[in-house]
Amino acid sequence: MRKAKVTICVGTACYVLGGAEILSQLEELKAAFGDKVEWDGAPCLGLCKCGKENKAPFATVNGKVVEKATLAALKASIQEALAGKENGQGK
Amino acid sequence: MNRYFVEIGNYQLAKQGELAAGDVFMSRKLHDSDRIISVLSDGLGSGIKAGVLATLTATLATGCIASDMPIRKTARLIMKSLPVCSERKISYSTFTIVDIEKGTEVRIIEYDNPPYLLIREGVDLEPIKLDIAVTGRESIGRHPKKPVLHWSTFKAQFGDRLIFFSDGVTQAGMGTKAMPLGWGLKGVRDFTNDLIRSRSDMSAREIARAIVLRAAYYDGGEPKDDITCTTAYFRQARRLLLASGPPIHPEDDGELAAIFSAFDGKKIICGGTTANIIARELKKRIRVSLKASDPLIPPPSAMEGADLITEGILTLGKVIEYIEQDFKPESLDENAAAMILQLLVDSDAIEFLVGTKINEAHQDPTMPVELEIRRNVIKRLAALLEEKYLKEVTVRFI
Repeated sequence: MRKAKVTICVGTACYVLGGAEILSQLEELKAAFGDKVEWDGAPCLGLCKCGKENKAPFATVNGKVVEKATLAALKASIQEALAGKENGQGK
Repeated sequence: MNRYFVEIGNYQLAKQGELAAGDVFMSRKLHDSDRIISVLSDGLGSGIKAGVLATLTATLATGCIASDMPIRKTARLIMKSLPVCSERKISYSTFTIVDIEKGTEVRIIEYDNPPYLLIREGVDLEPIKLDIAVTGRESIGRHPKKPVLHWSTFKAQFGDRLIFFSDGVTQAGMGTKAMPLGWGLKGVRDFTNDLIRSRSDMSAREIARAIVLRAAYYDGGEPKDDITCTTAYFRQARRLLLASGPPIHPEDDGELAAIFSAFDGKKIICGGTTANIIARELKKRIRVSLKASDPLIPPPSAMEGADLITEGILTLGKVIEYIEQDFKPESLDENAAAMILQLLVDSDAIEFLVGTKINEAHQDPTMPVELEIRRNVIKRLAALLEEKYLKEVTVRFI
């Protein structure tokens, strides 16, 4: 069984730009994916300081960065990772 | 630090059905003369009217004693200044003034409050009190009786606890079958001695709270009068370090981590980047809780060697809000800001270690909330902790 490791940033910029909503609905995501996903948090992924446009909130799925991580975007990235499509693999 | 730290803890319940308390407690720290002046005043009656009398008394007393006005003159001024109650045609408010200099020299002036308790090494001490009559009834306004002040002084020793309270404590339970004359001074004294014997490390605030809650219990859970108790505890300072913000020069990251690691006391890190730096330098792992307990405050994290890790600016801003609005830590929801507040309240000497690097991501105009500069937030928090909680605060920038 493929597994995914998801890390959610709980730093200031990520939290105010939508991270709080992800956490508030995290239980739903957890229930949807069960033990296929390992969940983790990061005090700050440091990604909000890179680039001209702030693309927070950030999360990573198997190390791959998810920008503007809405619940739907995160779900899609996890599904991709579980299907083996991340990092150009799986085909 | 060789001198004692003086922890002042106060707890109060208002008379059942009253929106405002008629007992007022005030405390002021005078940096120039190294003094802490605390006043507990009980205004005639209860509710707003009593609150006004007691506030006037406490404010005047604190101000007069701070400016070294003689005691008799202070008492006369207070009694002359109080407005006359329209029902009872008298003006009256009791007070206990405690003036602590250099952490050891204690002077106390009492007027009509129950006598204070001084507990040293499990023994009740009764310092000699000098009675001072405030002469000339006419000159002191319409007062119900000839006022006599009790003046006493002592040199505090390590571990001393000075406890003073309003008559809502000694008169608790009055009229009930179990204690028709109320809890009484002896009852309060015995309870307090047992309390300290059972838990010798009890903080000033915990003692004040335990006494008030017991009095309320004797009143059947519905205070029949305002119940207020204050404790001054002379002891070694409980130290706390709060590190927030990355150093302005990355080459100082190691120093930040070294100061944090070597600190003897409780330790908090506020800020994700700061936490990452300290964890990296000390080769520790941070575990983030993903429980969304509060939509405005990010969840706390844990790391070996730290008592608490939180997000920075939002959480510190919330702590300031809690202090400004006089929230009691135990009444708050369990979020990271409440956890910080609890640790701050339970400490005496608080050191802020502040990195001055500005987080450019926070200055983005598209942010839905305005994020303040860390340095200003810490300055405000430090000032509040000094003013409202009488903490010894130092701020160090890195």
